This record gives sequence, structure tokens and C-alpha cells, in this order.
Amino acid sequence: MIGNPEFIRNLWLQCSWPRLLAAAVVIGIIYYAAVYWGEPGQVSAALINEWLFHFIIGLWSTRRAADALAEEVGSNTWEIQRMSGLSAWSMAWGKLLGATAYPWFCALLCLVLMDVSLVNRGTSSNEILLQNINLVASGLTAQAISLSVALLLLRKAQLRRRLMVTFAQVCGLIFYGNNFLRDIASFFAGEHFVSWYGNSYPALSFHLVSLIVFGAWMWFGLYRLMRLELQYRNWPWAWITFLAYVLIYTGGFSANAQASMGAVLIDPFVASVILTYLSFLAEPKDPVRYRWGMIAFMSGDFGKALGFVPLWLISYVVTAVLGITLAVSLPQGPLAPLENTWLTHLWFWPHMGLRPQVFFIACILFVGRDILFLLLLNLGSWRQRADLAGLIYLLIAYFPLTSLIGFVGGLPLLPFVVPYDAGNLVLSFAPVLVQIGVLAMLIGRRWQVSVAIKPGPVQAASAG
Amino acid sequence: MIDVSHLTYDYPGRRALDDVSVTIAPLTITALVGPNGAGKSTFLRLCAALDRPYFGQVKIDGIDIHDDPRAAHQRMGFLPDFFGLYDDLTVQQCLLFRARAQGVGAQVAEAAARRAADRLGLSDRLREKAGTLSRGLRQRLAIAQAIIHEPKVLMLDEPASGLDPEARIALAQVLRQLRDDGMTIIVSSHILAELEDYSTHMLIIRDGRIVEFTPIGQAAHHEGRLRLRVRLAREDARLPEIVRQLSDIALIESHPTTALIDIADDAGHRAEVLKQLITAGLAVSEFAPEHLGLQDAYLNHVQGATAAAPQVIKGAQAADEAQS
Repeated sequence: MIGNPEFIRNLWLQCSWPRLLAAAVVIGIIYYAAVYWGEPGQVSAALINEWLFHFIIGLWSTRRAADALAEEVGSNTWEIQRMSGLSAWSMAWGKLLGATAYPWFCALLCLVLMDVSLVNRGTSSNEILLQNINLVASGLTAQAISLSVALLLLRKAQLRRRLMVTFAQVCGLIFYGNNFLRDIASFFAGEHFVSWYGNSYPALSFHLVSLIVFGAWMWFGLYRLMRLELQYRNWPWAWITFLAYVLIYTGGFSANAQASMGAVLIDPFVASVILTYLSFLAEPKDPVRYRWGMIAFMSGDFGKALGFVPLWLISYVVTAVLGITLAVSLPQGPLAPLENTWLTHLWFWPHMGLRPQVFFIACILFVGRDILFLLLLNLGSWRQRADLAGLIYLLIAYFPLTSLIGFVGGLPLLPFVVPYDAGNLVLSFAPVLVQIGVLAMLIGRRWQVSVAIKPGPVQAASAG
Repeated sequence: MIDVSHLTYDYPGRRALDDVSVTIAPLTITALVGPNGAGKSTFLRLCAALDRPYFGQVKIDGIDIHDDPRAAHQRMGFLPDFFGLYDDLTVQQCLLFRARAQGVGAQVAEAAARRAADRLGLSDRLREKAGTLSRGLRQRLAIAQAIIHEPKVLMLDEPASGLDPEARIALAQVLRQLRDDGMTIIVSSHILAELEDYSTHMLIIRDGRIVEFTPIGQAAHHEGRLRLRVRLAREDARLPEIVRQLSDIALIESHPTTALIDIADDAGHRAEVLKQLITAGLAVSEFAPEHLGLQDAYLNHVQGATAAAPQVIKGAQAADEAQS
């Protein structure tokens, strides 16, 4: 660890002896104040230190993680860093743990004092250990999320504004807060069991293992993003593996001996749709990369071309395959085998139509339409705002417009704006297929005008 | 050392570089010049593999930098127009960090930092924080960071901007020394006089295209012809008339004591012309090839003279006027 220059640089900047000493003194004072003025049995001291940990890691360290990159961009050192010889992994963990070293020092002090209080209260060492793992894993994951979002924003050239740094911080904070709220719920609700692939697991243990695995994925994702930023070539196997993990993980909640294929696939399908949108929004829709990918593909260099394949395209293909499998495997009769899944709720959704098979195929087409629409905006001249503007348009189309059409009784028009079985395959699919065709044509035109380049003759002579 | 072919780059709605190709030889210092917005910084960023071009290829020391940017970065140093320093670190910490980040081993990093500090005259500032240094010293520290891993290629974007004359002279010395130590250097700048002190070549970029790539400070050759300066010891009104009567010579400009002539690049012919001038009774005190300075060359091209000899003549006149 000491060999990582990025980590050491951050320690030089963050952890001077006076700062470390000051932190120890302040936290020590708070602890003794809680011990002497708190409730008997040192409940207050443990709680106060836990809350201090939450505050330091949830609020402060996620900010530091997001700022780690924003400060470098602001002080014009990031370009130099991109040319350094550091590996992506060294840069990722050196920056994340280095930038948050001081908050971690403070938080770990709180954790130790919390543990001391809990031991004095007679809490079992096993319980203390699990709580410590939970807190540390939550913190590390939240920080990785904040820095990853900052990296994504940087790749989209949007990290210069403080608002965006706050956004990256809030993403980490939301994860941390969500995890923290789940702890509270578990505390009040007691030990529940989770059914996963037909087996029952204690909820807290299941949650802890899920958290650690998810945290590992976040760190791995951070490493992969850093690779891209440091201009290593990324093949999409990591994303495919992550997709597979999410699909298997989400499928486990519905899978049991009695569940039909349709019941098992519904959660993975929804997760796949969400990941398709998220990956599209997260990636910079860089025409230069698309162009290089196409050149590599056309020249038969498929290995190189794979490095340029957008992740949203992979996600969409997986979504389409899942959606088709789901539609094919759905039972034709009553939905009894699907009870307690999302599908049964969707079935009764008034706008879904009569046949869920048609609905799911239409879903695939509508996701494709949305992606093409957003892509069209991104190939335009105001691409910096394309994603946000496109999302607003789509939200308007999906919600107020759909409600308005339903309200005025225009159900036959619904297939134009949402996936809907109009009772006739042509009426259900033709509107969205026409939209896809028009969007594809417009994208083709825009590509020809603004992206495609025909290299001309050499302009200048060599000299030397 | 640096091979650029068909380099093309667009900013949204604007082409910044248009099919640029050039080959830069090792151990040269190339001055990259051109008006604001010509594409100089974009060219350097693409050569530093910080951006990916729409089209084209850059090879440094035989490595395609966009296929293997990390390997290319080990062979190059880059100083952007901002210096990119960690203000809260000391000079020694900055150099140590950069050395380690560039892959210099832990055992030799201190020695590398010390050597870089010595080269840039920062040895007595090692304990000072980067943020407290003057602009000239910050620039030196930034260069020290860029060369700490002994790169083969060094690229500097506007390194002299904001420096006082003393610091500029020091910069010129540093760059010459680095060239002598084996580096190939590209320097982008607006300050032509300063570039002339140390550059061996000039690369003019205008509207995203290379207008000219030429050696600096050599005799002004053009398509087998040479420009010669004839200077007299005393005024003689017959000078232009006599020159016009000589065979295969064009008079570019003439004053009572000096004339600039365009002559075939042939030693025998030059000897004959000199003999005829002296025979005609002119007090010839100088008869030597005209050396083209960077400023002359730049103004020649920027003011529209690029190809034909008459255009060169106009350019030379303009340069003289500009100098006077």
C-alpha cells in the first residue's frame, strides 16, 4: 500500500500530524462527554459514535471521494495524471482511499470507541464484528459509487460544476442512506428470512453478503472506469459478467420449485431494462469512439471493434433476448403460477392491454425507440444537454401524455406512446416500428452530415 | 521520431485539424506556431494521446499512441499551457511523486528528483511549496516533472507565456540542453523571437492545416535557388542596374548599399557573379547567403507567400519592413 504514489501523495496532502492529533482530541472529547453525561450502560456513547461514523463516512467521505477527481480537474493536474505510468488499479484505490484517508481515520476512531462501548454493554463479539463489517463495507461502497459517478461525469465533460460534484456525492450518499435505513428497518422488524432460489437465508446475513458482493462490483466498476479514463482498452466482458450477475441475483427472488419460467424471468427483465437505460445515460455518446469501432469492424479487426462497443448496446441485446424468452414462456391461461411477482401486478395494470406477450415485445421495441431518440439528440449540436432534455421529453410522453390519452378515451392511440396490446398485432407494433424507422433514418442522416469523414490527400509534406 | 499522418479532429461544429501529416526528426526542437485558434493545442493534445482523433495516426518512436497510449506516455513528457502542479506539495514531494507515478523505482526516485531539480535550477527550492513559487519557477518545476522519467519526446504548450525576459532566456537554455541530452522537443508559442533562440524547425499551422514545415536558420533555399545578400562598403547608385545586367539573377530588393538577389544554387555561378560585381567597380564588402529567421519565415507564410519565388520575395520584403 505504501508503494502507491497516488496514495502517498494524498496522505501528504491530507494527513499531517496536527490534523490527525486534532481529530483524535475532538473525537476523544465527544466520547468522554457521552460516557459521563450519557445514559447508564453507555448506550449513548455507542450510539453517538455510530452516528458520528455515519456522518463522517456517509456525508463527508463521499464528498471527498467525488472531490478527489473534481479538485484535480479544477487545478489542471488531471491531464498530467492521465499521462502518468500508474496502473488503473493503483490510481483507483490510491485516489479513493487516499482522498478519504482523513475521514477514514476519524471514522475508524469512532468505530473503535463504539466497539468499546458495545463490549462494555455486553454485546456479543459476533454481532459487533458483523456491524463493523456492515459499516465499513457500506462506506467503501458509497465512496466507490461517488468516485465512479464523478468519473462518469468527467467522461461526459460535466464535472466542472460544483452541482455535478454534489450529484456524485449524493449518489454515494443515497446508497449509504438506503443501507442505513435498511438497518433501522431490520432492527425494528427483527430477524427476517429471505427466499433466494428456493432457500431461506437470514435477512441480515443475506443483506451483508449482498452488500459485500455489490461493493466488490462497485470497486471493480471503478477500476474499469479508471482504465477507460487512463486510455486502456476495455473489452466488454466485465459488463457482460455484471449483467449476468444482476440477472441471476434478481432472478433468485422469484425462483423456486413451483415457479414458472415467466415468473423467474420477470425481475431480471425489469433489471435489464433499467440497466439498459442507466448504461446509456452513463456512457458518453462519443461519435469518435463509434466511428473508430465501425472502422475496426469494417476492417475485420473484431477484437479492436469489441473495445468500442457501447455497453448500452450489449444491455439492449440482453434485454431483447430476455423479453422474447419471457414472452414465449408466459402461460397462456390464468396467471396463478405467477402470483406474488411483479407480473401479476402488471397484468392488472389498466394500460397493459390484453396479452402480456404482446406487451413485453412492445416493451423491447419501446426501449429501442427511446435509445434511438436519445442517440439522435446526442448526435446533435447541443449534446451536452441531450440526455437530460431527452429524458424530460420521454417522461412527458410516458406519463402525462399517456394519462391524457387514457382520460379522453383514446385507447387505440396508446401504442404510439407506451407499450400496449391494442388487440391487433399490427395496431400494437406498427406505431412504434414506424417511430423506430424514422429515428433510424434521422440518425443516419445526422451521422453522414456531422460525423462521417472522408479523408483527403495529405496536406503537408514531410520534412526533417 | 514523431510521425503524424492524416490527423483530423473536430470540435462540435468546427474542424480543428484537417488531414495533418508531418514527420519530425529526432533531436530537433520544432516551433509550433500559428494564429490563435489555428489548432496548435489540439495538435499537441492529440500527439500526447490525451484525445482521440476522428481520423489519422500518430506514432512516437514507432508506437501508435492511440493504440497503446500507455507505452507512448512512457516515452513522452507533456507540459500543458497550464502547469498542473499540486500547490500544497513541496518541490521535492512534487518531483518524488511524479517520478514514482512515471514508474521510476523507489530506490532511484530520490536521485531522479534531485537530478531533475539540478537540471532546472531548483535544488535550493526543494523544501518550498509549489504554490509559493514565482511563475518562472513554477514553470521550471513543471518541466522538471515532465522530464523526470527521461522521455524521448517532450511537448510544451505555451511554456513561455507570462514569463519575464530572464526566465525566458533560462527556458531557452534548458530546452537546448534537453535537446543536447537526446530529447526531441515540440514547443508551441506565440513569441517568435523567443522560439528562434532554440528551435531548429518551424511548423506553421493555420486553420487546422500545416502551412509549412521548414528548418530555421539555414540559408534560404527554394527550388534549387538561393538568396544572397550583397553589401557595399560605400553607397553606389549603380548597384541595382549592374545586378539586373547579370545573367540568371533576379533582384529582390535594393538599397544604396545593399541588395538581395535570387541566384542559382551553384558555387561556380556565385564565384562568377562576385567577380563581375568587383570588376564593375562595386566595393563589395559582403556576399553571403541570406539566412531565414523564424520570424521571417513565419511572416512569409502567414502573409500569403508559400510557394512561388516571387511570393518569397514579397515575403522577405515584408519581413524586412516588419523588422525595421
